[in-house]
Amino acid sequence: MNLVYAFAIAAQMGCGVYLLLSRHGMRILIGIVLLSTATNLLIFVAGGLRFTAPPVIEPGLQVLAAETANALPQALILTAIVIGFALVSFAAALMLKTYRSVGSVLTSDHVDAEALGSPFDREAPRNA
Amino acid sequence: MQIIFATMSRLFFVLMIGVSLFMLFRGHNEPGGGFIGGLIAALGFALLAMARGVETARRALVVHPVALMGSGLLLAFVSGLPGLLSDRSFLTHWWTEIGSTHLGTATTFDIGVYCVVVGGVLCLVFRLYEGIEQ
Amino acid sequence: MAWIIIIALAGAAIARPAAELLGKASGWVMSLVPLVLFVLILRHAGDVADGGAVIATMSWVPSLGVDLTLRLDGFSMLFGLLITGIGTLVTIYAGAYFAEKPVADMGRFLALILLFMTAMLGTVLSDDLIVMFVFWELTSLTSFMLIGFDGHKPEARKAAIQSLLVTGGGGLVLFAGILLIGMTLGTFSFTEVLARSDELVASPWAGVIAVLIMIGAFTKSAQVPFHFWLPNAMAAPTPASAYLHSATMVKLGIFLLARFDGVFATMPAFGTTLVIVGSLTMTVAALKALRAEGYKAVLAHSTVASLGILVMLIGLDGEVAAVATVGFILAHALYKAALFFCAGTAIHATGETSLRKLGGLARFLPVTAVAAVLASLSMAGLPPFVGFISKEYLFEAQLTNGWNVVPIVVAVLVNAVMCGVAGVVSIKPFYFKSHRVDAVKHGETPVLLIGPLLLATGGIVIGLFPGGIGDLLIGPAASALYGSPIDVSFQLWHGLTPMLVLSVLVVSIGVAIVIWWDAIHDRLRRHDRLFRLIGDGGYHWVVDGTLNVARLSTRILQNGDQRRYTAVVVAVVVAGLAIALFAGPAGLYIAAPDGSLRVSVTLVLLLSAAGAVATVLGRSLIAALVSVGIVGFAVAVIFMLNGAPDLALTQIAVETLLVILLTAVLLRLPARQRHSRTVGERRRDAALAGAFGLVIFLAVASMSAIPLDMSLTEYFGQTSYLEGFGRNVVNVILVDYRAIDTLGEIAVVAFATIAAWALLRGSGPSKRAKE
Repeated sequence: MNLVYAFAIAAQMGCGVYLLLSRHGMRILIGIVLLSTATNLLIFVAGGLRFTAPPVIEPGLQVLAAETANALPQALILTAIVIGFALVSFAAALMLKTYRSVGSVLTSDHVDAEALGSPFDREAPRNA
Repeated sequence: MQIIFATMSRLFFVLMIGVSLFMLFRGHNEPGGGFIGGLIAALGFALLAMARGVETARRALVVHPVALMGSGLLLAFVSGLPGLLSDRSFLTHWWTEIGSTHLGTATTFDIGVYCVVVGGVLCLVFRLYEGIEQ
Repeated sequence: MAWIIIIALAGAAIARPAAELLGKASGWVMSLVPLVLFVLILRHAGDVADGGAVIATMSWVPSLGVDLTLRLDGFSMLFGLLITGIGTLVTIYAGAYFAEKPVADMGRFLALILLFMTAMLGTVLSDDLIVMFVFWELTSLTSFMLIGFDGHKPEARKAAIQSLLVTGGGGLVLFAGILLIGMTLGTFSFTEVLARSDELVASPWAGVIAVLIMIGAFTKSAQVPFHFWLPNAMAAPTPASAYLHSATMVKLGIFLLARFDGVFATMPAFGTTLVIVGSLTMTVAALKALRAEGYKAVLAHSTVASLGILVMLIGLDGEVAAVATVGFILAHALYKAALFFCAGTAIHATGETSLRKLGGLARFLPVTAVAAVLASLSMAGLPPFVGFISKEYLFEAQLTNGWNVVPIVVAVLVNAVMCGVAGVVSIKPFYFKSHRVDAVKHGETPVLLIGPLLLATGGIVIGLFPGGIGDLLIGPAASALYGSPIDVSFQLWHGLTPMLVLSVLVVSIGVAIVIWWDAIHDRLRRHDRLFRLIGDGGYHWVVDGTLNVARLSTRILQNGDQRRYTAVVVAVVVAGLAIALFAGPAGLYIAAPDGSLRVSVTLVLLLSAAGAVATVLGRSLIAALVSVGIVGFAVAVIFMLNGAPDLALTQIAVETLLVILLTAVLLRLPARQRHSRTVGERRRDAALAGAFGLVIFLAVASMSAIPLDMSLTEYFGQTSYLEGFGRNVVNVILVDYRAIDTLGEIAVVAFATIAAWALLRGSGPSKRAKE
C-alpha cells in the first residue's frame, strides 16, 4: 500500500516541479498548488495510516480508543492547508498585479528587478 | 440557468452560513471547528458574490472583511489572556460547566479563527470578483 | 593591570574630540596616555626581574569560559615598554607631522594610533589565547586603516587591502590553531598550555597546530612567502610606518613564535623550519633592499630582513639565542624607528620619496642628519652602539648552536647588506652631493626631532652602559623566553672572539656596498624576472583566482532567469535527497508490497496521479485548473478514507475556493496560450521533474521503515477530554495544546490576505468608472 502512496505523491510532486519550472505565471501557481497538496499528503502518510477511525473520543468514554487515526499530523495538516491556500492566493494576487503593470505573465518578461543574463556582461557597456 | 442560480443563491447562502456556524460550535467534540466553519461561510459569501454581485455579498457581510479579520485576530489573542492571570501561561484556557456543556475560552479562540478565515478569504473573493461581468 | 588596557582604550576614545579641542597641541597632550602606561608597566619591573610573571584575572565571557587574564612577564614587559615608549614618541612626532593637515586628520590618526596601541598591549598581555586572538586581529584592522589613511590614493587602498587580506587571513589560520589547542588540551590559558606542552606535543594534532601557528606568525611578521605586504604598507603616513611596520606590530609574529618556542621546544622540526624560513626571508629581503628605490621602501625591506633574523634566532636553541633575540628586538626597535622618523622628516621636507633623488639635506636638516647617522651606526652594528652588542650575540648564538655553515654565511651577507643600507639611508640623502636638494618646503622643528634624537642617543647610551638595561629588561625578557632564569652579562666588549671577526667582515663588506651602491642597484634592477618571482605575484594569483571563481559562479547561478533559480534549487534538493538516501546512515530501504492493498484507496490515489499528469499535459489553463481541482478532491477523499474527516472537509472547501479565485484571476489574463518553453527546455525540465519524482518516491517508500514515535499522540488522546474538555482531538490540539501555533498561523493568513487586498487595490469598478 505504501508504494501506491509513494507513487501518487511522487507523481503529484514531479508534475508540480515541472509546472514550477514553467515561465507562465499561472502554471507556476498551479505547480505550487500541486506541490502543497502533495506535501500535505506526504505528512499524512508519514503519520502512519494504521487505523481508519477518526480521532474522536466516543461519548461515554474519557480517553481516546486505541485504534484511531493519528491526530497530531491531522492538526498540522489542517493549518497547512489553510496557510497553503493563503500563500497561493497571495501569489495569485501578486501575479495579477504584475500582469497589470508589466503586461505579461511570462517570467522572462519580468526584468525590472534583474535583467536576464550574467550581471558581468552588462558591466562593460555601463563602464564604457 | 442564470435565473435559477441567482434565486437559489440566497437559499444556499443562508444554508451554508447555518452549516458553518454548526460546524464551528460542534468542532470541539465532532469533526469541524473554526477553520472548516470559516471556509464554508466564506464559500457561502463567495456564492452570493458570484450570483448577485460583490455589492450584495458585501452588504450581507455587514462589516468590512479586513475589519472582520482584525477583530478575529484580536479575539483569538484576547482569549489567551485569562490564562496569564490564572497560571501565567498564555492561551491556557479557562472552562466553566453549564449543565452538561463545557464553555471556555477555547471556544472564543475558535470563533477568532473563524472570523479570520472568513475575513481573509472574502478579502480575496471581493477584490477578484469586483468588476467581473456576470 | 587591567587599567593598562582601560586607559589605553579611553585614550583612543578621547583622541578625536581632544584633537578638535586642542588643535596643534593635541600631539603633546595625547602623548601623556602612552607615557603614563609606560610608567605603569615599568613599575612592575621588580616583579618580573627573576623571570616570574604578574597575573591578573577578571571574568569576561563566563558562559564560554573566556577570562580576561592578563599576564606580564619579562618578555611581555619588553614589548609593553617598546609599545608605550615608541608610542609616546610617535604621538609627539605626529603632532608636528600633521601640523599643516586638517585637524580632523590629526584626530583620526591619533585615535587610530592609540587604538592600535590598545590592541598591541592586549595582544602581548593577554594570557587567554582567544582574547589574544581578538586583539591580534584588532591590530590587523587598525593597521589596515592606517595604511589606507590616505584613502583617496588608489595605491594606499590597494596596499591596505593587501595587508588586511594577508595578516587578517593569517590571523584566521592562527585562530584555527588556537581552537585545535583548546580541543586538545581543553584550555585556552597560555600559562596552562605552556605547563602541559608535553601533552600537546604528544597529541596527533601537534604538527598541524605548529604549522597553523607558524603561518599566523609568518603573515604578521612578513616572512617568506608572505613578505610582500610590508613594503607596500609604506603607503601609510610615516609615523605609522615607524610605529606599526617596523617597531611593534610586525614583531607580533616574533612574539608569538617566541612564546610557542617554549611549547614546541621538544619538536625539532619547529626550530628547523624557523631557521630555514628566517634565512630565506633574510636573503630575499636583502636582495630587494638593494634594489629598492624609495627611502621608506629600502627601510621596509631591511625591516623584513631583520624580522627574518629574529625568526632564525628563535629557531636556534640555548640561552645565548634567547639573549640575542631580546637584544635584537630592542636594538632594532630603537634604530629602525629613529630612521623612519628621519626618513619622514626628509620626505616631509622635500616631498620627494625616492632615495636617489635626495642629497645634501644636512644643510637644511642638520640635527635630523645627526640622528640618522647615530641610528644607522647602531644598525650597521658598529661599537659602541647597542646594535653591535646584539649582532655579537646573534653570531654567538649561531656559532654555539653548531649549525652548518650556510645560515652563518647568509647571516654575514645579510648583515653586511644591512650595514650598507644603514650607510646609504643616513649618508646619501643628507651628505652626498649628487641630486642635491636646493630648497625644502618645511624645515626641522624641535617636535620633529624629539623622537629620532631620543631613540638614536638611546642606542648609544645603552651600548655604552649595557649593564642597567641588561638587568632591567634583557635579563627578565630572555629568562621568560628561555623558560628559566639566565644570568645575562650584556656586555659591549666580548674580547677577541670569532664573533668579532665576523663583525669586522660584515662592516668591511658593508662599506663596499655603500661605495658601490648605485652600481649594485642598477645591476639588480635589470633582473626583472627574478624579482617578479619573489614579489607578490602569488598574492595576485590567489586574489585574482578567487575573484574569477566568484565571477564564474555568479555567471552560472545568478543570470536573472527565475527558471534557472528554480532549477538550481530543485537540482540541489534532488542531489541532497539522493545522497541522504543512498549514502546516509539509514540507507535505502524499500518495504516489500505488504499485500494490504485497499482497492478504494488505490483507485483514488491513481486518480490523483492521473489528475496531476493531466494538469501538466493540458494546454488550456482552465483544463489545468480543473485537473488540479481533481487532484485536490482526490486527496480529500484519501483523508476521508483514513479517518480524517476534518482534513477532508477543509481540503474540499479550500479546493473549491481556490478554483473560484483562480478562475477570477484567469478571466483577467490573456486567453491565448503559447508555449513558454522550447521543446528542448521542456525535455530538460521533464527530466529534472522526473528525477525529483523518483527521489521522492524512494524517500516516501523507505520512510515507512522508520519506527514512529507515538508518545505525543497518545498523550493528546489520553488528556484531550479530561483536560481540554473536547472529544475531537484534532480540534483540541488546534485550539488548546498548540493554540499559540494556531494564533501565529491565522496571523499569517491575515497578513497574506491583507497584502493581497492592498495589491489588488484599484481593480474595482470605481477605477473603471474613472476611465
